[in-house]
Amino acid sequence: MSTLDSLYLAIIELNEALALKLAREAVAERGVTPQMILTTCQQALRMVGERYERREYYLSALVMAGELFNEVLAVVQPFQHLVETEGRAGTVLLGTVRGDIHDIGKNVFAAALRSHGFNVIDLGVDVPKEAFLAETERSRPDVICLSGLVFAAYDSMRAATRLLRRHTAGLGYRPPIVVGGGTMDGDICSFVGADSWSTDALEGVRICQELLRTNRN
Amino acid sequence: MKPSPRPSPKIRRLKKPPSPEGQNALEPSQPVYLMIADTLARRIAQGTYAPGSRLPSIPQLCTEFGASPMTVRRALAALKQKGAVSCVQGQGTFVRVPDLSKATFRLSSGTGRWVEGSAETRLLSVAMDRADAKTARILGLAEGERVVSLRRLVTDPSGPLMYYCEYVLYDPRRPLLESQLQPTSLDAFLQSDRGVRLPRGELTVRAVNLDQESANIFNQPEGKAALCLEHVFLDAEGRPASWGYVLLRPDLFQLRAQLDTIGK
Ligand code: B12
Repeated sequence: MSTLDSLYLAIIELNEALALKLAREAVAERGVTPQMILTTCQQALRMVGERYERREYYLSALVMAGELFNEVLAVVQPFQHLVETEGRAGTVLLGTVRGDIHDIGKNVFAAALRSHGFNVIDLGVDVPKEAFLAETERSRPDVICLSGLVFAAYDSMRAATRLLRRHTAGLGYRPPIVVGGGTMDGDICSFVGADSWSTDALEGVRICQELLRTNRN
Repeated sequence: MKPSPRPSPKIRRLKKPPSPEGQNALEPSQPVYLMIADTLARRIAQGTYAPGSRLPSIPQLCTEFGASPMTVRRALAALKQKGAVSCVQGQGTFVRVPDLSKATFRLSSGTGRWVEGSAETRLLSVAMDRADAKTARILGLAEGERVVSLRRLVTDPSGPLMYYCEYVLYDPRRPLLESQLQPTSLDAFLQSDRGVRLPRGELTVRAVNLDQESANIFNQPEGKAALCLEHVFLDAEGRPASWGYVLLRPDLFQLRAQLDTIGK
């Protein structure tokens, strides 16, 4: 069995010590890219989610899986920069909106963006709309990404979008806003007034790439 | 938690007075000695007579209540029976230091606002953590083992009221976190009017000094004294499943213990 296969199983079994050991081995292995390791983690995370749906696992398993993802990320990230970030794809401002503390998916999405060469500014969870505005003024991101899963998040996304749009003149540009999370759909996106949406990290990356392309032309 | 409509006596009235003559305290016209006992009990509960302090002497009490020494002695005997005071031969009657593990707690907010629906509980974080020495001891783990930590804040329009930290045993195959996330777990714990009685030693109350983090949250100076309620929740088998503490905003909450040795 390859190191990546073992890593996949270790994460599904939530075996922290083993997963970290394997992640360290994998980064040192030839022919294994950081991207491959992260993809493996994402697949494993999905399996943990399925076990949760089947009630083989409970909530704390998901929290642990999210933690494992972050820990593996910390192992992989130093190597990632050596390889991939040459042609900076652009800057993305990201955060889980006010009233919502789900961040497992947001972190997965951030990792996917980074592994595609994006510079990601992650404001964390429960982020008030004013913080998105202030950070936009400061670092002038190419895209603003709002993550959220609970109902309350949709109102916060809408409030943040409105605030940013009201300041378009002051900012001097209109950064595209993308919303995402497992419970997102087109209706919520139009309620929020965002430019695009997704329920999948990789699709989210493609959307950001697309938005940058159209904005540059 | 509904504020009681009237200032209720904090020590329940005796059901069976230790009456040598077999008087019945539940008669509408209460014997004088019981009224005196009640008054003294109320003062003890309110802190007029501090734990460990000496009550006024029998002659003093006779003067105050206009009662005979016999009646005052009977009142003191009733209090002693309740466990509220102890008598030291030749020295007087002393307020017992309450045994908190035998008390039923009522938490009363200065305002009562936070129960009126204007209060909300915000989950601040749920994260993987590692057991420190205390958590390890309480939950029966080795230090450094994984636990899930929860942080919550109860707020109302006036600001934060309670800061709640909980450490839950990490077990991916049991819904321990689920049960802690149910709003009722916290409510039940704080249900003041009914008073939650936890098994002996499961609830402790301490005065603490706010550390930097909690001082920031309450917007109060660091080091300020606050009440801290610590508790252990047990699983169905009676093993500890989580422990936590609730910090109460210093200016809002008082704690009243209702001694529960009455009628036993
Ligand atoms: C794990 C979990 C938790 C954990 C979160 C731990 C953490 N650190 O994140 C804890 C226990 C804390 C939790 C708490 C609560 N939860 Co919860 N939780 C979940 C659960 C089971 C999984 C979420 C998850 O992590 N999925 C895995 C990740 C990888 O997927 P994802 O988030 O969808 O992210 C992917 C994509 O969406 C995308 N993505 C994410 N963000 C973004 C952003 C952009 C811009 C883009 C493009 C893409 C993108 O990238 C990821 C990879 O593809 C879901 C149910 C479910 N099966 O989804 C409920 C769920 C989200 N929770 C729910 C609820 C109600 C709550 C609570 C209110 C429960 C309570 N009674 O307290 C609290 C919320 C408190 C708060 N204020 O936020 C509901 C939300 C329903 C709703 N719409 O309102 C759900 C759907 C469960 C349900 N069916 O009821 N929860």
